Amino acid sequence: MGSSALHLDGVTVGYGGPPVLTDLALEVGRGELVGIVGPSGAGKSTLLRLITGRDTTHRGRVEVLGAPVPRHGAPGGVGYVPQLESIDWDFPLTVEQVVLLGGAATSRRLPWFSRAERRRAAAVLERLGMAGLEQRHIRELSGGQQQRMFLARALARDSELLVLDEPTSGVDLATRRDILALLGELRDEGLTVVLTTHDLNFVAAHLPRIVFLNGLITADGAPREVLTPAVLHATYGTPMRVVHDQGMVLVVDDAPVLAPGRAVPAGEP
Amino acid sequence: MASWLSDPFAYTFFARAMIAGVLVGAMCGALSVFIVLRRMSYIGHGLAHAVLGGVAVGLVLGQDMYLGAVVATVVAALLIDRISRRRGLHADAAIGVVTTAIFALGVATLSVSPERINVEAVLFGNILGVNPTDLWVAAGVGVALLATLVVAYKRLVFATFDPEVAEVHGIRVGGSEIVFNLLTAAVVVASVRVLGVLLIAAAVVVPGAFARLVSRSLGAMLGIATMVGVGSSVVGLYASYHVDVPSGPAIVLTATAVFAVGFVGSALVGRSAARARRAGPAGVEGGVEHAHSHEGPLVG
Ligand SMILES: Nc1ncnc2c1ncn2[C@@H]1O[C@H](COP(=O)(O)OP(=O)(O)O)[C@@H](O)[C@H]1O
Ligand SMILES: [Mg+2]
Repeated sequence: MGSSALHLDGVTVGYGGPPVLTDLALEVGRGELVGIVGPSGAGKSTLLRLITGRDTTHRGRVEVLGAPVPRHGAPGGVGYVPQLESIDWDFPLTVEQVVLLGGAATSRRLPWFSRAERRRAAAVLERLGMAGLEQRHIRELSGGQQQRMFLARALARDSELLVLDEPTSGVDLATRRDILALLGELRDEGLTVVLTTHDLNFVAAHLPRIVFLNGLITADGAPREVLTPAVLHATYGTPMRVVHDQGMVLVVDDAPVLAPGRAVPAGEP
Repeated sequence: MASWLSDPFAYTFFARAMIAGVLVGAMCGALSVFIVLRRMSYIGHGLAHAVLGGVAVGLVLGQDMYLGAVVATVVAALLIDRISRRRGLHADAAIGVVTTAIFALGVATLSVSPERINVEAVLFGNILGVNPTDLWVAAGVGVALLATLVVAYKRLVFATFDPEVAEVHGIRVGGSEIVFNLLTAAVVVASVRVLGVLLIAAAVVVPGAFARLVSRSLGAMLGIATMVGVGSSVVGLYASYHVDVPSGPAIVLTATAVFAVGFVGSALVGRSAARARRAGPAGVEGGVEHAHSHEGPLVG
């Protein structure tokens, strides 16, 4: 079975048109925390579709947790956290119910969950700082709490690999930090975590490993190795400057967008 | 008043209609919750139209009404599934294409056929016509629906709420959609005698829509919608008997009246709750956002 959480080799995917991902090779070891970073349309979500077994059209080799992804159906042991935008928040469910559903596929065939399942859901929610919110309607959560609820659902089945699509988009700065810290802790507890982001400074720069993607992998490594003007230009197609400050890396837009000398009208940030 | 309620039962046909009505009302009510949550309100409409095609062709070929109806709706449900999987097309377009075609086939068949078929009964429902076969069909479909809901409830809820993640977490979402469409087809077929082709659409939407207005708990929604379905059948059938309107319209108008009350009522409750919040101390429930609490539960 080996120690590999993800193994992609010569992978090409398209949606009928020109390939969205071309000849991808990627190796992620168990217990790694990796960010897939690139502009929108780069194919980040498509890559996640691949490794969560929702794409049947690709060419090449995709192994997840040591086994090839099945042609139909998803690989076992993968917990998936979708983009918050894709959810109907008025759906009549409580936080606890959503978390319990994460294990529905292997739960017994009755409309209700067992006491053991509920205890476990409560424990996972508590682990994620959500104790006491079990009976809340999902609409009554903040963005960060919604994200934690989905993390709890992903952990409600025995996941070894956590896959998160843009877990830090649409939440405020403090929440972004909390989520990243939480993912770091889960990694320390032995999980493999793969997430996507388009946020260079507040997310990518804090991750131990970044994979830059724009149709193909343009760079792969630790932030201080790959956050370079050349890589950024290759990935984003626009010039950016990289500032090193007290051991931190900061990416700044190089070219002024507004013509110089134009007065900024009052009230604009 | 008592005789108003009991007199109709002197007739076997009314007793049969009442049994069929209660079964059909319960089935349509429970199913409507999932139809509303899946935003597939048009599927009832579409499948019911397919029934007319099936019934017409079946009767003209000298077959039982149910045989044609079952074949037509199963074919329609499977075709809808296939067509809506094609990129760029969604279920609404698929339903529009498939079921109207089968409806048209039915109308064409009727117009060239020498047989005399009581089209009005098929379109609007006919409680005079409920026979023992209808009761068996309704009971059988009811048992199948109940069994499926019990066995597949969690998976169905997961696949409805978040199909993407359900798929990754090992639920066969495609399979559950097909099962759901076939169940809907079965309920529609079982409802034709009482409700009629043109009115089934409302019966598989209105109770769920009402339940959604007054509750934010899925379990409570299922209970409420089932009761609304049964209640409108009972009230509608009495009205149909005493006022002499077809059963389908009577049942649907009853359900719609319930919906209207729920609609106005939940708006009033929401407004007074908002006023109480403005008057009362801020952050009653600990500072979570309450922007949507006007949809809050009346029940459950
Ligand atoms: N279902 C789809 N059908 C056709 N094209 C798609 C589909 N999903 C994504 N694409 C295309 O694939 C490209 C990559 O999309 P995506 O993987 O969502 O990128 P990202 O998540 O990095 O923004 C985009 O050009 C997008 O238009
Ligand atoms: Mg994306």
